Amino acid sequence: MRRTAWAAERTPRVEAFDHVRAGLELLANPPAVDVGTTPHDVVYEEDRVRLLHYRPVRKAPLKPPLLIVYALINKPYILDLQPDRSVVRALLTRGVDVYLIDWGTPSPGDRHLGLPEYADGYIDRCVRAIRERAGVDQVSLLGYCIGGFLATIYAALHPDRVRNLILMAAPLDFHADGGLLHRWTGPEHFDPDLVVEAFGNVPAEFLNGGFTLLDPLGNSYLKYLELLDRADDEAFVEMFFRMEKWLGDGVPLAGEFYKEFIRDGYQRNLLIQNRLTVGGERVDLAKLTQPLLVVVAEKDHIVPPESTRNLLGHAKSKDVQVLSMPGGHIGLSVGAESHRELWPKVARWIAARGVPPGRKAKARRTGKSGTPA
Amino acid sequence: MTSRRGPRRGPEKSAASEEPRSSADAVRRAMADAAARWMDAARGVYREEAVRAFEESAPIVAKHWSTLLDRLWAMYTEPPARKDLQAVQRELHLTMVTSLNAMMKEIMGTPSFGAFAGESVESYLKAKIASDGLMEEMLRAIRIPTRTDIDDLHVSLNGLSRKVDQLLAAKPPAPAAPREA
Repeated sequence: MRRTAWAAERTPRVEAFDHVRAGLELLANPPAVDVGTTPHDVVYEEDRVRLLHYRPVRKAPLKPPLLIVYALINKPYILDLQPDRSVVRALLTRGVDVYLIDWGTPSPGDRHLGLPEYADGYIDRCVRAIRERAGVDQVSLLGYCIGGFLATIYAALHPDRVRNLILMAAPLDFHADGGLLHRWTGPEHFDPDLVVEAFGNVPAEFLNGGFTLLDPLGNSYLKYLELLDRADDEAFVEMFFRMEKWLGDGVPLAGEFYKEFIRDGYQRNLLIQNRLTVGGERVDLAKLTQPLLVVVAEKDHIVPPESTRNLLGHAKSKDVQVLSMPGGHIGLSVGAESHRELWPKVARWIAARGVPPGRKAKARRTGKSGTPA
Repeated sequence: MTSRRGPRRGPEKSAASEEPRSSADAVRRAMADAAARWMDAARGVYREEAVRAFEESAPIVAKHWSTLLDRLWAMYTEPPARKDLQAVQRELHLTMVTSLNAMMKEIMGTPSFGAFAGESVESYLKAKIASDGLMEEMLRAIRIPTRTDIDDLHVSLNGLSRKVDQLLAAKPPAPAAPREA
């Protein structure tokens, strides 16, 4: 009798114990979660690369179309993680015609793919596919993280094909203050050639190990502690496991690209000094004259905000806007505040710099790189 | 092996500095070199580096420890409005963990940590390269394709498929076939 009474009593200690038990049960049996559910079609494929076109929700979507250049590590569904936190959906519902490059998973034979193939070859052929499909001369380009690095290079090499450039947490000035990755990859104690010699393509686990160390307890102990705390919050739990799925779904990085990214980026910082060459051509940031939107996260420990912002001192765009959010690198895509504040602003920015439906988005300038394919 | 931070004060000649005679020899040398590094560390050969690491880390530890003590003192002296002991325990725990996290992040940003991490990764990678080489040699002896063979095949296939794509793209459209009467 006494024992029953004790069990029925909901003391704070019993409640706390129940919380922990519920959280541990969740970790042992994670719920199944759907990701990347916005309807789309694959409109171009080459090697491992797929160009996705999201089905417009408006009859006459804005022109020119927007091409999202995603990073080469991790899967792009972070931009379409769940319906109410989907960057893709946020843009579609505001009339933007959205395309996205899914780089796929490089095979061992892709280890020789480097900057020329990614920043110029694949992106250019995707841009051509969109131009032909949508009947336009130019696209708007949105680059996220390493995708922003690639988009910047592409826009500087082919300024006439890019009407608007949006850079989101893009590593451009690799020596900007505050970057731990820059300090760890210093040439005096880090040799990217050795990494590629050992692995071929650089495995996702090796890359993730470095990212985890950037916030050692935040990326491990503290996040699980929060799950234990909020195990009865259904929305939080779903989001948590979607993020876990994404974090564990990394893809290897092509060996040659890794070497170039570490050596020419983190170690020599060539891009921001206008000294980077891609396929024999120098990348001149002064050729960036198109409207430029820079999106940064103030607590980004992967790409410090200054790393992207410092581009403003080199690009010649006259129409420039910077949007700064208080969260971190991933929060830009999935944070509640980003979806409340940031993405509506980005969509308005794109709409204001588009062309009315029915008119063709023509190149503003002519030149070598503007020659139609 | 010579540390890229400067000349080593350990053994006069490293085992890995000569060309290995076989893959097995390369593995043995890589392992011996890694072991020698640890032995050197235990003997205090890296005393200067250790002192430098301590000099860099000590002020960081002191700063965070002092901040933590301030926060704990504030919690202690705050009027006990909360009667929930578990909430207090939780706050205490979180305060300590977040302080530790901040301290770790700062220490990991020091040059000594960068050098230590770089050398650790380098030792691991060299051992992996040597051991993979030995494995490949063994597989070749029993005529089983190795990772390098399969990688090379992948590269050839990718090159061929790219060439075919280029040829198809460059090919002029075929003239319409004459119609039969």
